[in-house]
Amino acid sequence: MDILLNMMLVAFMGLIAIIAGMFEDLESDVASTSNPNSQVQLAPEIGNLHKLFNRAISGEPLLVGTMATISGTVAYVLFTLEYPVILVLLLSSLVATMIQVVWSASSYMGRITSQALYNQPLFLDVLKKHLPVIAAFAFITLFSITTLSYIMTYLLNPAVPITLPVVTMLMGITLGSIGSAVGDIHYGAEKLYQNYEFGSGTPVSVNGNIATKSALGSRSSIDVVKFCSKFGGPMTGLCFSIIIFLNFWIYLVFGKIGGLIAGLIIVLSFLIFNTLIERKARLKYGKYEKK
Amino acid sequence: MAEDLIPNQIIALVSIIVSTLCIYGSNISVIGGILAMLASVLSTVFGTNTLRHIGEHSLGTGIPSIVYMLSAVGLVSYISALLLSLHYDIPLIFPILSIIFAVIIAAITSWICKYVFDIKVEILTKSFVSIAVASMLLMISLSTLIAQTYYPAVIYETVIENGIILLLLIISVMGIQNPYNSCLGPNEDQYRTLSLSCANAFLMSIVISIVSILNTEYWMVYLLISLICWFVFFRQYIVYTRHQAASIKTHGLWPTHDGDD
Amino acid sequence: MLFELLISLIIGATLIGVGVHFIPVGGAPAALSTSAGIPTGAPMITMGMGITGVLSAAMMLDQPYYVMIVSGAVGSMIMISVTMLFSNLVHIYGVGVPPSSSNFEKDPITGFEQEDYVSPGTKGHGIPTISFISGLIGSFLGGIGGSIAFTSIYSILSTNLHNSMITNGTIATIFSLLLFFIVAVMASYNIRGTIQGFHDEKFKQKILPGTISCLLIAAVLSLFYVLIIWGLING
Repeated sequence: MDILLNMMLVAFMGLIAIIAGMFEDLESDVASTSNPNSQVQLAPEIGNLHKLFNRAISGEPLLVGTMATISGTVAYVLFTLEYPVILVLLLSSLVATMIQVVWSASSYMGRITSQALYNQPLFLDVLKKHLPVIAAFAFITLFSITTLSYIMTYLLNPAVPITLPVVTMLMGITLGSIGSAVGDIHYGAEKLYQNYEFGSGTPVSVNGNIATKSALGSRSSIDVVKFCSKFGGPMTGLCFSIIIFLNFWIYLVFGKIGGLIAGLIIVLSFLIFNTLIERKARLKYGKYEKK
Repeated sequence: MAEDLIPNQIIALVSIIVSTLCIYGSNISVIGGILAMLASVLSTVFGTNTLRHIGEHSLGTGIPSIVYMLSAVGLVSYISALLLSLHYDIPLIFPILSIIFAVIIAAITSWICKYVFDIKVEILTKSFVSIAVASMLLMISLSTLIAQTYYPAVIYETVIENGIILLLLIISVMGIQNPYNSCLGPNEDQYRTLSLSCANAFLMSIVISIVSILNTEYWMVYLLISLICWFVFFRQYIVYTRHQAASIKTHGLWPTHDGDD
Repeated sequence: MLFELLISLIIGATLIGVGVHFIPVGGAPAALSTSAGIPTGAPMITMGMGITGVLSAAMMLDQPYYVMIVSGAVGSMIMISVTMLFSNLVHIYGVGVPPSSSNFEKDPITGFEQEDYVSPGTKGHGIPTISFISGLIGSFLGGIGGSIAFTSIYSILSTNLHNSMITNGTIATIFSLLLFFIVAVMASYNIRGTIQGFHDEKFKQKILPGTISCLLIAAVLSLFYVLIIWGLING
């Protein structure tokens, strides 16, 4: 019975990890966090004013890690006081979400004001329009991470022998580094530079020359989310989910020693798969013409 | 970056001395928590102001990395000082000893950066030491707010054993690096950045007061005080923003280059 | 006993530091397909990877120590391989560029020419096979390092203290996490920007000072860690 329950929990963890990963990446797109934000930051400097959100609370892993830890610690405290589970999960992620919203607002105001030299105006409608979206995505992410960590520390049998605040921090930092390594490419290399031809990287010479106009008027970061939710976001979710799922699943199915061997075989098969798609991409896209 | 209106030396001196005294005063009931909050604000301001200087130099990776490395250094020195003073049963030496340990480890890290990696930044050692000490004082003051005392035995039980110390670590990294990172740019201004850093410190106190439910019945008082103070400083930050922004628009497009100059 | 802990902590921390150098990191430019490698900072991806390893090791507490150590490495390798694979998938299907890097001429494993497939004006994009393998080696070293630190601290705590398993596990996790926080950042100060794994010219210049510095900082930290553990046991 135990293994059946564990299998169900691990499958559920994988499912909830998809949601966490996907919405984490979309949140980072709508708020323009992490590495691609360097281009949004650079744009006014080369005379390219914009109405995109510009937020730099910190790097993505640190941000998600902090928010998840806040949520996890509040949840830990409320669990110690023996509140009901659902209420605890909702309340703790709500507290963390509010803090993230405050930081998003102050960060947008700060970065834009520090660019006064380039005449970049501070748009209040950008702030009003984006903050609810950021809050919604952040809440879903934090709720998912806290639930995931709750399952790991309290429900799984044998449970992870670490307290809830630490586990949420581990999950948060891992998720943040994945979101920054996978999903951000779609935003940075493709959506920001949509005014250039598809199918090539961004040359250093065009850095900062991002697309600031949309089909109708100015481009906002909500347009970015619409684009990224079709590929970048789901891929991030899938990536995080596979990592969480595999890390628990191999030991459940193959036992402890067998799980290690299975893990190595899975890693090797990823390597082979990577080489295959690399080869396919080369054959399909062909060489670049030298200018 | 504009000229500094408050010199870094004064901030450093005031915040180190006052924070340490406040940490020693945290044993007093009710007032102790408020003193701990004061210490946390001062050390955040100290850390941010130091970061404003070292952040101009490129060290090879992002600005937050400086702070989280040095906060980890601060945490290592904090825990080792805590356990030493616990072992010898002299609670009084705990804050002082942690400052000494933080200075030692941060100085060694900066020397490695200087001589092995050949990073040529003059203020490296000074800044590394300052940030490590600031983050360490911040973590101690936040843990005294949770534990309601600076006695190592109580702190070990209420903060370290259950892993809440990691919240303090990551929240102090955020508190110190966020104001500078948020206000980065050619028109960065000391008053605006530091008002944000005060607001951030109280934002952290809000979280910590919620966590301190476990140990004190006065958590409502702390929560209320930190909410009010956060509001005051955040308003101040918005006032500075209004003054310093190029223009504030409620709607419409950005100005074209021909007209507005 | 404490001496063994000191040695294993030094080895673990140094392995983490060396492992960071193997991971192909592109930093901010890689997120714009301007440079090859994983598009995030070196400390961040190392932390994410090491943390997964520590979590895997923490689930193996009832097993012999070598199983704990290897499981840490496997956890890290799974994390980094999935991340690199998906990073490449987004590069290929989202941006439309083949993985290639101009830091070396030819991929020694697959024999793919690099220069012709690098889009003009950039230094490459995605993670070519040789960098992928380098990333796997790096994650193996980093994961082993992290789980050695975790295992040694946990074992000494569990034999000497009458705490619950959760307390010991939490303390061991916190300390191995702090190692990643410090050593990974030091290593990335050495790398300074982007690196494409062990086949890169830059790797050969950077690995020696990197190893020395990681050994130094590992020694200092391990001394303080031994002080802490000694205090925990005798406190």
